[in-house]
Amino acid sequence: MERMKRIPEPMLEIADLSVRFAGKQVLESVNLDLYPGELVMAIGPSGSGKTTLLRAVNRLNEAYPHCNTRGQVRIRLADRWWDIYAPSTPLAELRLRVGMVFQHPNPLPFSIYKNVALPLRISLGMNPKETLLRVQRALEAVQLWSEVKDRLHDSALTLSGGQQQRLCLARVLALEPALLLLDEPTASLDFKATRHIEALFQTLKQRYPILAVTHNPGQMRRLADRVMVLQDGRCVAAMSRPEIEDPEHSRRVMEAFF
Amino acid sequence: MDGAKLMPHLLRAAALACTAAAGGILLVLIYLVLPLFTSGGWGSVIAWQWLPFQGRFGILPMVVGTLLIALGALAVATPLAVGVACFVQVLAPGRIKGICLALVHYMTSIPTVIYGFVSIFLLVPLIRQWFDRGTGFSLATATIVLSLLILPTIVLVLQATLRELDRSARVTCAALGFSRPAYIRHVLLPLCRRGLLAAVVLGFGRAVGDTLISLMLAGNAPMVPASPLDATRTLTAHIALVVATDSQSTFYHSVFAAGLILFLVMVLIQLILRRLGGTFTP
Ligand SMILES: Nc1ncnc2c1ncn2[C@@H]1O[C@H](COP(=O)(O)OP(=O)(O)O)[C@@H](O)[C@H]1O
Ligand SMILES: [Mg+2]
Repeated sequence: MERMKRIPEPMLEIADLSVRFAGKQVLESVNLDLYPGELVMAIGPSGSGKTTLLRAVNRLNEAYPHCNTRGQVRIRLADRWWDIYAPSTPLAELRLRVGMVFQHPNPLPFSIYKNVALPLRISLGMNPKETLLRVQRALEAVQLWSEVKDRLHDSALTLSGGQQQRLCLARVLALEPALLLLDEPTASLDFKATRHIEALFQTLKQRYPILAVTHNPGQMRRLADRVMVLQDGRCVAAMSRPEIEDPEHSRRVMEAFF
Repeated sequence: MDGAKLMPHLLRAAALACTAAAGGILLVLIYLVLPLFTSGGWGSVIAWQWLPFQGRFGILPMVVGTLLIALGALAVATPLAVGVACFVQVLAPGRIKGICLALVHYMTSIPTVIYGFVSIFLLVPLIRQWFDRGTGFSLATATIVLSLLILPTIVLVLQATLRELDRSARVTCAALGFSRPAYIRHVLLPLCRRGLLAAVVLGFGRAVGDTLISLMLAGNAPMVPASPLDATRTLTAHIALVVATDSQSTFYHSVFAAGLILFLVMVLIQLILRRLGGTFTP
């Protein structure tokens, strides 16, 4: 009972985060806590630093040249806090626990099966039998299994955009991450595929805390539990669920910053 | 006529000249080789002994010599090139990557003859001392130096493929928690097979076509070497030797035959490359 009553601890803490690329300030003093079971959305015009914010969480900004990150990002894994930027934090392991879905579907030019199986085999060292089970479960979770179960060994590039994006989501879910980062995951999809994926996120957020970004106010209204508005790398406003649902309020906020 | 109008004509003339030159070479080659087929000279050329003053004009030892040296050089250079290309593309930090690439480019610009005479003063004595056998002018010597010659070719072609792959897969794989060695081993190398094959075929073409290195370093004995330390002779070196020395015209049969074989090998390589190129873009 004691545990139940405590205020839940966040899963992710971003404190005073600033990122610069080649001296250019892209994020400035961003703060954010992400709690279990919630989907927090960062919204902002393109170029406002949304992608950079997500990449700061799994240290993917470092894959690009001349990046300089300051501030603190901490993640709670198995009741232990990890400072993501501490030199002692194992980077590959960290990235396995933080699943990221990109703005454009990015399947590797392998087969459908191999796209999901390869990280399991290589990064988790799973044996072929376990792998097969995991792959099936992940594809079922994104409702892709029935569509691809007869052509698992076709190239992933033969799938439609929406299917590819669900495949990428399955690839991430198969690794059983602790939280999900979604970077405008429906930006390159048509209306139907978008609704399909959004419905998936609704159910996924029960299991994974999700930090998502979008530039689409409609999507924000449909999905977000909390919103943070980014502009030129700064957090300029925040909205709670009731405020998002209040059309007057959210319109005022959107008009002020878009 | 102004420049804009002149340009298409100039370009067409240039294209025609190139085609005509290539066609001309082919025609002359056919003209020269034709007697081999009509007068039965072909039989005397497809033989294992080159004793021209006894009327034996066999060039098969040179075919074997060419293949041994070229394949040997490939066997040495390919793994090295894969290592260098992967290192440069994935592992090397920015500055070191630049230095490595500059070095590889520089290697392509060294004239073959420099490789040859530097090796005569450096590698040949070493081989002679280490193995204490023969003169140091041997199959092994030529193979080692030839592998250096084709290394940059293979590295550059392979690295061009790797760069494209790396651009599209690097961030994806980093986000999936792949270590860089695992990324190279399980993603880049399987995906660059075709590019690697193209690079290897190109390197093979250079190795087969090279004349000076085998001429200067392989010892030129017209025989099938029994060990890597034996001397051998390649087709290209054979042609150079026969044409450059005062040989009787009957010797020339073998030169023509050697030329034809080289030509056919090169055509074959071009065809393979074209096939690879045609199916290259996904
Ligand atoms: N790897 C990079 N190198 C240099 N500048 C970058 C890099 N990534 C992003 N930026 C810059 O940071 C700013 C924000 O980019 P981004 O986070 O991608 O914005 P968003 O996702 O909101 O469109 C942009 O002005 C962009 O030019
Ligand atoms: Mg973006």
